[in-house]
Amino acid sequence: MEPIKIYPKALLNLQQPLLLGRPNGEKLTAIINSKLSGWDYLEKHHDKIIIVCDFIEGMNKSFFLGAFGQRVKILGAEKFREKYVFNCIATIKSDIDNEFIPASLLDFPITSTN
Amino acid sequence: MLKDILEWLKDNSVYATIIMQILLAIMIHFAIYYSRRNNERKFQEKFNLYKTLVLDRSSQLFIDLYDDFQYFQKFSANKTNLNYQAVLTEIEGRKEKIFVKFCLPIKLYDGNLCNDLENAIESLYTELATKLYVYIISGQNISYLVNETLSQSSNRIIEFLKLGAPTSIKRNKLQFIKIKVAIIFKNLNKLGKILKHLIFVQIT
Repeated sequence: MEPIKIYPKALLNLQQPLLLGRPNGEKLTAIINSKLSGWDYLEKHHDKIIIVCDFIEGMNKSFFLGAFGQRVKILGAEKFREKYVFNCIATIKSDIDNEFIPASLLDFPITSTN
Repeated sequence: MLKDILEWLKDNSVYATIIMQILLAIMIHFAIYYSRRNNERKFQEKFNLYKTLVLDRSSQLFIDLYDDFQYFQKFSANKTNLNYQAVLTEIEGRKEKIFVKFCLPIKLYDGNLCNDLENAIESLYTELATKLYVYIISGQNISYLVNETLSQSSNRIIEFLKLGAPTSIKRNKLQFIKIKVAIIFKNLNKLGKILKHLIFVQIT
C-alpha cells in the first residue's frame, strides 16, 4: 500500500501558512470526505497518511482537534502515530505529540459536529 | 322527567342562560389567568437564568477579552525572535479559559447561544493569532488592527447576546384567546335563543 500525501494548506486554500481554528480543521475533514472518501478510507487503503505541512509555521490545538481529533479517538494514540505522519517543523511536531494527541483523547467539544 | 326539566327550562331559560354565561365567564377568566401566570412564571425563570448566566457575566467576558488582547499586544511588542508555535499555544490556553468560564455556563441557559458565543470567540482568537503572525514576520504595529478586531467582534457578541434574551409571553396568543372567548359568548346568546325556541316547539 502506497502512502498518500495530504496538503492541508492547498486543500483549504489558505493565504497564511497557518493552520488555525476548529472550523478550518472540520473543513479539512469535510474536503477529505468529499474528495478522497474520508480519513477511514485512506487509512484502509494506504500504508501511511503523510500530512505535508512543509511551509506551515503554526498549527493550533483547535485545528488539530477539528481535523484529526476523531481519528485519534477511533484509532487510539499509538495507532494514530503509526498511521499519520506530520511533515512539519519541530515545534509543531512536538506540540502534536505532547499536547494535541493527548488532548484529542479528552476532547468533548461544546459544538463540534466532527 | 324530561318534560319536567323542559318545563322548568321554559320558565327559567333566561336565568339558566345568564347563570351559564356567568359560570363560563368565571371559568374562562381563571383559565386565562392561570395560563398567563404560568407563562409569566416561566418567563421570569428564564429571564433570571439569562440574567445570572449572560447579563451579569458579559461585562467580565469583555474585560477578559480586552485583557487577553492587551497581553498579546504587549507580548508581541516586547519580544523579538518569538517562537510562533509557543505563542499559538498560549493563545489557545487563554481561549480555553474563556470557553470554560463563559461558554459552558451559558449552555445551561441556551445551547444555541453557547454555540454562537463559542464560534465568535473561536474566530476572534483565530484572527488574533493571524494578526500576531503578521506582526512577527513583518514587525508591523498591530495595535490598531487588534483593537479594531476586538471592537468588531465585541459588537457582534453583544448583538447575539441581546438576541438570546428570553421573549415575553406572546401577546398574539392572548389576543387570539380573547377573540375566541368573545365568539363563544356570542354563540352562547344564539344558543339561548335556540334553546328557548326548541323548548317552545317541544312543549307545543
